[in-house]
Amino acid sequence: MLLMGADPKLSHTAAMILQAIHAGYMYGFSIMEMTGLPSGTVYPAMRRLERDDLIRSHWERQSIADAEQRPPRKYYKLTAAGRVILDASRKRYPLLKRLMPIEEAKAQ
Amino acid sequence: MKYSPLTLHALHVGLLRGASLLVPFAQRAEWFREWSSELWYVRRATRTSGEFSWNSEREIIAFCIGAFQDAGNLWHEGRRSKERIKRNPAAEQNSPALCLLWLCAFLVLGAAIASYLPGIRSEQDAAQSPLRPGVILIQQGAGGPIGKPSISLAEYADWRSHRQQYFTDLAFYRTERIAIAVEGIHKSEWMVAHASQNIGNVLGMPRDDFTASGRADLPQAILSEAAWRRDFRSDPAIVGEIVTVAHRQAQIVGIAPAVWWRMPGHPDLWLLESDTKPERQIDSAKGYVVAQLSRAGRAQMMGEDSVEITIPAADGKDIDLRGLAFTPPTSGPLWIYLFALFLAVLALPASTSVAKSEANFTSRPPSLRSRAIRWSFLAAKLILIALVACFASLDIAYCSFPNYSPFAEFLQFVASFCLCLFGLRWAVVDQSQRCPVCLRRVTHPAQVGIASRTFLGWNGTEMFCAGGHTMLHVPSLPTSWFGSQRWTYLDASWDFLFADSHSQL
Repeated sequence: MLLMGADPKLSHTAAMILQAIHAGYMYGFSIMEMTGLPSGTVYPAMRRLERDDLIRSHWERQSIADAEQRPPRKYYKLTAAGRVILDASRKRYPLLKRLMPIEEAKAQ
Repeated sequence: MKYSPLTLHALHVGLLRGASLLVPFAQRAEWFREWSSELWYVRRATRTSGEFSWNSEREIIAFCIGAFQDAGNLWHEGRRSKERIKRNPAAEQNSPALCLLWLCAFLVLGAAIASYLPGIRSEQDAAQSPLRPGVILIQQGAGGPIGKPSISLAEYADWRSHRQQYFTDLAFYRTERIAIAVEGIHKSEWMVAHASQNIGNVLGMPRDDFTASGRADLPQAILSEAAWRRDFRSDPAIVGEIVTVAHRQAQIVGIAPAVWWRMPGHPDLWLLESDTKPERQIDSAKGYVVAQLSRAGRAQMMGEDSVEITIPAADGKDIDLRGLAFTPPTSGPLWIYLFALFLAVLALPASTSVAKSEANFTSRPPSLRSRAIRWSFLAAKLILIALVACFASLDIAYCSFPNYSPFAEFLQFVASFCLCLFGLRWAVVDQSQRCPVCLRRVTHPAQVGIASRTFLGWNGTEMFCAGGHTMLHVPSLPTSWFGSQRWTYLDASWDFLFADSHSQL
């Protein structure tokens, strides 16, 4: 649970994953590709972020996956608390924006 | 070699299935569904051409191995929730107990390997039972090559028949390669030394020491320690066996001390020939003469490595000989290692800052008890690393040398020095990254700040203690206001990241 009013801090790895999800990389493998982190780091980190209510997951509908002849994906997206933490992390880790500039492109 | 896609797919799914066994049952189905779904996309992305390639296969396998880490984390979490009180620190990543456990495992492995290497035992034995002092090798010519047979049996017999002032005794041996057969056990070509009966007396091992009750009708043979270990696996029952040496029978009456391997020719078997009827001794064949110096001889040699010997011949021409002292053996592997360790300790401050292991705190310093535990951990690591380096250097040196060898000693020294230096350096660096509260190694390094703004703001690396106690700040560029690394206690605002870690401490 977050302590509102306190200065929230996140590890660089977790901040990178949050930034990637926010930038539109919404499932595990795309986050791995974007961040360059191995699967053994990304998935456990996402589970911790989900446990801490910074991200939320949902399964893609089976019919959509069937139509494209592929297995359904588990998508992740940021929660409101996750967005707050991400904003704070961007100030703390200024290189995050450079790593994933897509979000800035989306904003323009 | 062709690999069926179905086989490979089964292998990948099998890896995921194996990993899923670590996941708590309630989460297992969901976990496996996500990983197998992701595997499908990984396979599609890495096999762009649809053909098998090692690179793509390596990527897929690396992905699947990551599943074990994920499953392992879930397993830990599940276990922690069940055992909040009864915890197992050795199972945690980066924990000090796990670090010590790994070092102990390396130590046991190194010791186990060392116990199987014959060269180490041989070297130790040679150090424990050196040659008798005052034994020299006599050879022809002042400038001839050392260790080459140069004296005939006839010359030896002539010298021995005269009273010697500088020698108490002389012994002769000649080496040749001969086919050997030991009844039902072994048959091969060995280096056999046809030696005079008194060779044992001269070298410091009288015949009485060989306890086998010999048959009077057979010549006696002494097996070298190296051959005993190499060909008979150190079987003591070999003593008393009959050995056939080029159609002649002899009885093995004992095992020579390891240090005899240093004698020129490196004989595998010492065949003690009768002085009265030397069947295989040829008068003109060249061999080696070893001599035991008398008190006058030792005084003449005055501790030198060699001495010139002149023998007046009947025809008036003097014969120039050279007496070579056997190089005193080193004090054994232990002393070589201790010397290398001493040098490594001297060199350590030049390779890393020992003061780095000291905890530098921005706020309250750790308690005396915490500091005592921290120093004890460092001491335990240093001791274990020193022991690991000792056994590992022996393993490296003697893995390809079954007997005493100066090169093996040199290799042991170099390996000991390198292992000690880098091992001790690692211990100090590792200590500097251990949380002063729980001794876990800090993880998740993150670059903070921008190098170009070093003089305006802080720039360096931050790492966290996985237990949520501390954060380590390491400056990229030491400045007057931030010269060395600092520890900061994490306040309550970090708790949400370490909820489980705190609960178990």
